[in-house]
Amino acid sequence: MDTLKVILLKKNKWLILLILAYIPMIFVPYINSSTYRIAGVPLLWYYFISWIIYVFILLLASYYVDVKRR
Amino acid sequence: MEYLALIIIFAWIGLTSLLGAIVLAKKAGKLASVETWFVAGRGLGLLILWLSLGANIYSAYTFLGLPGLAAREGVKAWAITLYGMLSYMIGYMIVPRIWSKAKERKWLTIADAFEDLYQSRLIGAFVAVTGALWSIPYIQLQIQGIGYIIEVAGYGLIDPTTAKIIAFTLIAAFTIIGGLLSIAFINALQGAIMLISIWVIGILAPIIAFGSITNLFNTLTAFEYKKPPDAKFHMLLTPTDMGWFVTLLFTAPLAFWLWPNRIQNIFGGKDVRTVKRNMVLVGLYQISQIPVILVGLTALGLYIKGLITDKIYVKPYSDMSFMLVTRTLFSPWLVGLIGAGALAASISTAAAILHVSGALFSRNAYQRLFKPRASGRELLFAARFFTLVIAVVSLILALYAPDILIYLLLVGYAGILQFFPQFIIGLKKPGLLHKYTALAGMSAGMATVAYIKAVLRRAPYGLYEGFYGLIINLLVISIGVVIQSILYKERKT
Repeated sequence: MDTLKVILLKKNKWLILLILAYIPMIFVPYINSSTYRIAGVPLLWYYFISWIIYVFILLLASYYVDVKRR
Repeated sequence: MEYLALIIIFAWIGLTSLLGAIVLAKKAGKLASVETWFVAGRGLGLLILWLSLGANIYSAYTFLGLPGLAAREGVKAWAITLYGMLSYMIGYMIVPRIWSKAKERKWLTIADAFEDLYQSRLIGAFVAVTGALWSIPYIQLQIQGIGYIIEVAGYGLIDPTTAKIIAFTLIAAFTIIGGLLSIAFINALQGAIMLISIWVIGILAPIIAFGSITNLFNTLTAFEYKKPPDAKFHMLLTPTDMGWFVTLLFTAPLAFWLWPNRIQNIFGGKDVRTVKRNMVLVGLYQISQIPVILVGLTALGLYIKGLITDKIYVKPYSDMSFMLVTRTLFSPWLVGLIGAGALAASISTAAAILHVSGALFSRNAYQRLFKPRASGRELLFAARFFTLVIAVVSLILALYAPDILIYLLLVGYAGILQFFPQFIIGLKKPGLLHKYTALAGMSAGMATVAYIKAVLRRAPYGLYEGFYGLIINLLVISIGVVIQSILYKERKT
């Protein structure tokens, strides 16, 4: 039973990470419909840059958690 | 003065080739071992593996293709940077497991992995040959890209055809230098020069040309409202772009780590920890693509201002954006240095792909299927012959059917993507797929991609062609599994 729990937790960890990485996709159509600009740059462009950095932070966090668990 | 940039470029290439040759000579004894030849004895440390992977992954497509797409189609360029970053996330999850499995099962190539997972030499050979065939657009991309660099750095002295032939010759010469060990070492040098160039030009160019990013975007916005009919530049995604964007982001990252040269580079890692740390650190390269996109936009801005006369928003000029911006705003010295970095990165990538393609063919196709007792000399001949064929086909395509660099890359991805379901199922549920089911799925997926690209030219509804291939692949697998179970039941009764 404990082994099963560990397997499920491990699998969930990867699933959660994947969902977290892809979740910004949901808001793309909404942001894309906005014509709002900051310093001349469309909001969507900031959103994409933030998404890139956010996934990188997720990667760093996963590595950190991995190292801590070891 | 016109020759200065070219002199710098060729001097740098000469220097790195010499260094590669020295490394090769010093490690000559070590190279006798097959494991060293293929995966550098699984001994690459963090820094060398990181720089080497960087130069292997980032090539003409980063320097030329990405700014080219930004200049041509604007916002779509972000999809490329995003799927790359998502690939690292997926890579972080699966690549360390693949590395461990490779070490345990003694896989040296991706074809070894397939051969072992399906207990079939035929599948190994299929993966080796198709992996090389789908690398052709990737090599074509490098030849075209190197050609553009030489063309722009030559300030009009070298015509496009000669430039591409020089590119081909350089790649061929570099491939002959050696195995992964020497290429990894040279790649590390190229990776370093590439990173510096990207950040320096990316940040300085828009500021020098427009005074601020805001001014650049105001110029681009004005262009978007009154753009010529042949321009495809958008600051926001159109409904067709949206379908492409979503299908690309969900499928291309699955193929990222299955490129034969990349997976072999990963197999070269020292241990799981090094591989995991690398997955995180290569993400830094992806962040470096942000200034590259800015260079593409600056190129379009300079065209609008009349400082670049070539129609930058159409091919092939869009793919020359990075070099044209450098040539317009900086001295030939810098054009030479940047050109050298871009060219070196492209050559090393092409050489790595060709090297791996040749090695795969000789080991997993020629030896396994046709001549199990082939001598080392025969294998080397087979590898070189196949490498030459792939390189010549790529050159012919670059000369007679040039395409937009980023789209060449994505076609390659679409083909390689078809390995993914079979690879993961083979790893996770060995025995679920019969070898012929696996083979039929991959073939159907690849045929779909080839049909879309060669016959339809454009995927229906503007979606990513790899997505269609994957759907067909999965469909064939499902039908195959049903047939397998029916046959199994029949045999039982």
